[in-house]
Amino acid sequence: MSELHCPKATRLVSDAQDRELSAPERELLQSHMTICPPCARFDEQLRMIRAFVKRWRERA
Amino acid sequence: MHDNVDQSVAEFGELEGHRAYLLKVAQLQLKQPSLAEDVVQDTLEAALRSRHTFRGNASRRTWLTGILRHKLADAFRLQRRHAAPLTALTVPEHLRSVDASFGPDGAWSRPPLHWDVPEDAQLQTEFLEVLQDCLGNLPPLIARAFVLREVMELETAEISEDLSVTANHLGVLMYRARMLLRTCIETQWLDEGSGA
Repeated sequence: MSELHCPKATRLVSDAQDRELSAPERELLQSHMTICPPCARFDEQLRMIRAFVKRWRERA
Repeated sequence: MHDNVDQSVAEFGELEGHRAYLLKVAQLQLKQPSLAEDVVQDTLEAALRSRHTFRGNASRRTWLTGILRHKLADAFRLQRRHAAPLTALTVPEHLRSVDASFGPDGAWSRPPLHWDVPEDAQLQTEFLEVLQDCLGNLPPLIARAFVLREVMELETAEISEDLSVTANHLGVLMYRARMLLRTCIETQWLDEGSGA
């Protein structure tokens, strides 16, 4: 199985916010995130940014 | 007759109630405050003229946001005609921080930290201010892409059309926007000593 590096993994994390990843992409990303806490944290941060933008929009 | 006038006044009042929100959204994309105000004014006037087309199956704000989207696109088209083109395809200096996020081996040079988002309402407001500030610091084209997607909630195909970019290029813009935002938020938030 080909390996995923952090730059590509983070790009996929970003893409996942805009489109549905293919099954192989999802699998690659999942296995990368289990061994890479920083990328998992990046995913967590993007979800937080989205949630906070939503909150900002509701308050504005 | 009297009733019609009353109704128009009431409708105008309701539209006016959305001005502040529309202005904030416009200001995230247009650096020039007077231009953002003009665009919002145009949006509200257009909304008033076409108020009979409002169907009520979307919220009034969503409907207005759709009109704002087109007015913003017009404003950018006009700007492009009179100004130097946006350097959409090059990587200017301020974007290098995205590339600097990783070392030559592809590993994070400064791994993302856990954000301890405050429960406290006051600190949450400060966090939102940091977010807004960071949004305002994004380069223009990247800010536009991000705002169209995350604030105005458009689908990627619509955004590609508005920005005249391919789906793949939009993916790059969104990626850069998110990388820059997260770095900015982390730096500012930690600098303030609130999230460490």
